[in-house]
Amino acid sequence: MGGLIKAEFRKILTTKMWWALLIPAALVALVASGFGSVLGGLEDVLRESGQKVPIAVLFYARGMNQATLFAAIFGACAVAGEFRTKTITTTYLTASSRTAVIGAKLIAYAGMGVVYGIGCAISGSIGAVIGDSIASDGTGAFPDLGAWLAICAAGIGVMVLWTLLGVGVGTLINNPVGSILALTLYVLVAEKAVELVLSTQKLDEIRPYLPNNAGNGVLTDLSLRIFVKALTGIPVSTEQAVDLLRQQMQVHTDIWWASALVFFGYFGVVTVLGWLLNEKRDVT
Amino acid sequence: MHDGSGRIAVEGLSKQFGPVTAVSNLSFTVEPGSVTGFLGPNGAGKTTTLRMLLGLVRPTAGKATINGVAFEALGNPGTIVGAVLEAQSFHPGRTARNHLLAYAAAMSVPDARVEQVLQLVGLTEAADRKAGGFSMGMRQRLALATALLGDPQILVLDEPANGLDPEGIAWLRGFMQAFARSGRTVLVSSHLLSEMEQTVDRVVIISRGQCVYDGGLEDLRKGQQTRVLVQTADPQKLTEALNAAGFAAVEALPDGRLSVSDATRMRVAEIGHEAGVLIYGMDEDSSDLERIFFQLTSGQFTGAQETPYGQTAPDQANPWSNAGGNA
Repeated sequence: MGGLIKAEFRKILTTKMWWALLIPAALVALVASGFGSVLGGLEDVLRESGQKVPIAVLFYARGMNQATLFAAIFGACAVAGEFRTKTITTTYLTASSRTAVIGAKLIAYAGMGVVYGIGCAISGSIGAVIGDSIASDGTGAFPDLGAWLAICAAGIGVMVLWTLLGVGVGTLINNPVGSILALTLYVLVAEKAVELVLSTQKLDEIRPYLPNNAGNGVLTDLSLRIFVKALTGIPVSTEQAVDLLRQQMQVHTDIWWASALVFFGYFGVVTVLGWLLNEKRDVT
Repeated sequence: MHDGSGRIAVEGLSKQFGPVTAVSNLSFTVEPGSVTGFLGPNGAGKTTTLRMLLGLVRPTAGKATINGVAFEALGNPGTIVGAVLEAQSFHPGRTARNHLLAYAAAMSVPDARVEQVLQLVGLTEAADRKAGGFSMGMRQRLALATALLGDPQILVLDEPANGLDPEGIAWLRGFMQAFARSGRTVLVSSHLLSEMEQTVDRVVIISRGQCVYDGGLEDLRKGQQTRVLVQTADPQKLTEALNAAGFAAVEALPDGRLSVSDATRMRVAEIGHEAGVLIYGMDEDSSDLERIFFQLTSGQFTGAQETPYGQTAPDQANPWSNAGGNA
């Protein structure tokens, strides 16, 4: 197994894909964190309170969430890419089993998810600092270092999960174009359509548990909690404040750990289905 | 590493792709220490059979074993069987050396082995070039280098001569024979018997997914029909005389000659003399293996007899036939 994991890392690091997708991911995190802080409409509301509020953390969470799509696309190419280049034949011929190949890929791509997470956490933090310094006409404030490191760590974890979801999707749909389209269309279009339907059916309570919302929910919820914690003298409880902010920002999330569990569940289902299909699939 | 015998056994193997039967109840064995040719026209089911043997395609029925076990049970298969398959390729942006380093890691062989196989196939110079820019011949060499990484006991090659220049083919022949002489097993497929004639010890010939011949090349030669082509003044009279002498298979050819199966020139001359028929000339047509191959596999394509599409007719100049130098 160690050999197969090493082989996967060698495959990843000897082609351009990993950095060709990491660069846009880091840029998205940078831009969304930075300019989000500048342009955020929430600012005006908060300015009235006269407090210094750590608004940067909210936009940082959003930037990281947007960057996860690139990690998922990168993950999707783990198995599907090998079908495209027809290297999957050699890969299967040199491994003890197909299951071992998928397992090694999941471990190696989880490692690459950490790399993506660190890269985006750094660029997102830089973006947040820049945006905060531009926007801080008395409103800007950074959360304390401990809280920032916590959300960075969560961001790395979320990036790993999205990369792994991508691996699962690419195993299920063993065609890179198909799996990338499926991921992108789902995240950008399909889930929003589902949300619209749920909303008209008065089923809003389901919305936090849809895949993309659950995947985004970890950082969104955590950022709201850090934000609320930094506010002083609010007349409501933390939960109430977080709820108010959710409504204000029009996000649908559950508490961060519940979102993480739900999202991990989606990863598990997709990957198990992909794995089962892959066991039976003829490689011609 | 080289446990077991190096024996390949295919038992009652069948594969159905939807309505198409690619392989039907195929059985044969491949013994170590020999080069076995796996022959059949394009579309006969060779590639599907090899892919079933290697665990890449799931059989509909039957089984294929290597060293007595299924491919999946080999453990570290790359160290037991190396394969060069047709639809096997490389990442166009990865260099030859990096490709080999990845698979060396996968089968846990030392990185130094990569340099050895590069040298062996003559790709050392091109090792740091991207595989996307490789010629067909270089790709075949890289595929062979990958197959040899694990120093396997068995080599499975699917149409390895495709894309190789005559020099490369000569080298490959020598390599396969040396590999087999060291007690190891080579199973090599081709749609041209002439390509294999000088290399293989045994042949398994399949047509429409079924085995039509399994045995030694010499036995195949012995079993062949010889015929004598006779140019005579009176074909009808000679035919009658030959039939009376026990030669039933006498055919009139379009060029006016008679074809007499299972006869010798001497015997035909005697019969002609006794019947008082003038014979101008005779040719003994010791039909080559390629003709037998076409006879065995002729059921494959309806309407096409001697030359299925794109395949070289037996009497045409064959670019491969003189390349080996040991004809």
